[in-house]
Amino acid sequence: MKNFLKNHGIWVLFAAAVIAVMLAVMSYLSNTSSPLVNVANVIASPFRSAYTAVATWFNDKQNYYRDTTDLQEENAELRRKIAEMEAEVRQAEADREENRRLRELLDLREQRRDFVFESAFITEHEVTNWTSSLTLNKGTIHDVSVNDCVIDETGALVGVVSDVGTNWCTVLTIVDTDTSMGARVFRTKDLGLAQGDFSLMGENRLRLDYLPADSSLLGGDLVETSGLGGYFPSGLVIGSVEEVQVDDSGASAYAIIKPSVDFDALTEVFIIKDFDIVT
Amino acid sequence: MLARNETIIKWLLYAAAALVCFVIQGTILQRITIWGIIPSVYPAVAAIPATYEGTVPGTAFAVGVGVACDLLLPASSPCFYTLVFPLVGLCAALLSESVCRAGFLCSLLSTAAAFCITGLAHALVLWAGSKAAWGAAASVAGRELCLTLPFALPMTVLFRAVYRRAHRND
Repeated sequence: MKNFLKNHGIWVLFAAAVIAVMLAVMSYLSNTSSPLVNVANVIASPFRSAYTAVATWFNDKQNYYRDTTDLQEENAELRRKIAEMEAEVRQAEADREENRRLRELLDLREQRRDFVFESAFITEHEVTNWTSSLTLNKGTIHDVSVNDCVIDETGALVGVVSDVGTNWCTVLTIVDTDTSMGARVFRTKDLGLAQGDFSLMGENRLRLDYLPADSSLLGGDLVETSGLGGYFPSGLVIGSVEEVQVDDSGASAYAIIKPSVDFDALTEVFIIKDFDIVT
Repeated sequence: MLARNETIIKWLLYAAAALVCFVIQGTILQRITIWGIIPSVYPAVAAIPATYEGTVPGTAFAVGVGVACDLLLPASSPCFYTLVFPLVGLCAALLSESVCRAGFLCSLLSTAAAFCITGLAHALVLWAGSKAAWGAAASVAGRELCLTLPFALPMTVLFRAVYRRAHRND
């Protein structure tokens, strides 16, 4: 090596100087990086990409973990908020339903100022297959008494109180076989007796008997309480005529009435504790 | 022959078993409606113990069940269950004494008889009130029986356990 440099050193130096000058000239003239820089960076580029990829992977993992943790916390928070909002929506729906009932009751109060109401919740629907009854959460301490009429918020008749305790009462619905009341067809003013029939009770229907021979009822005719006799208030909607049939003897007709009330959907009702008797 | 204390305990256990049936009826069965009918275990509660205990004690227990039902359930006539359930108890006891021994088959038979008697009594009350509905009453009683008959089996297990505990020394 020593001999080589001694013999050829001047040429090596010259070649290096030429190369250096050429590189300098090329660097000066070229718009891109110098060839050596270029070569060095070309060689380094895959390694740089590799370690950048690794660093990015670690960074992604770190971000993913942080994001996941944040998202879990956010998710839990959102779930809590959704639960709260759902509870508020449920409460709002209940309030809206109560509001609707009370507004309708208010209208009814305006129409029937003679009624003294007691609102009650249904604690139990029918308990046997042989009667159609409801149990309410109001009793003698609320001045409820036997034979008080029970209506829904629209003024449709639900039934009649048949049994009263201290804080409860049993209501026989209008389709029960033990319920009967004077009725009047709103359109024709025909009078009859609306009473429960066991054959119809399962279908939530009742009969309108003792109709005049010349009555001309139509399907959909509204039937309401007549108030005759003073036992029940007048003008409470019982239901509508579903069909008119001739009884077994063939001598008279009776109507099958579909109650306006859906007994299964009832949750709150109103007991009429007092009313003015219309003569 | 049981001592007085044992007899009292036996009937208290029968009452507790009946109470369990009443609670299940009120909390669960009351809310089930199939074919437009609610399952009703009350007639079976009056009948099944009578198959194990014989005519007089069985009828007396059925009277108690009837009184409880009249206090708790609306009925179309006063004391309806108090009057009908002794017949149910008597009939169930006679079935176990003369037709088949007390057990699952006897419980099923006596439960069927109980529903027939109760349904007939309901139909008679309707007829007496000029609201005869024999067909509808038979339909309701039949559906009630079909729906309630499966419950007679666990009830038999319950009342038989009481009977065996009370008569283990016999």
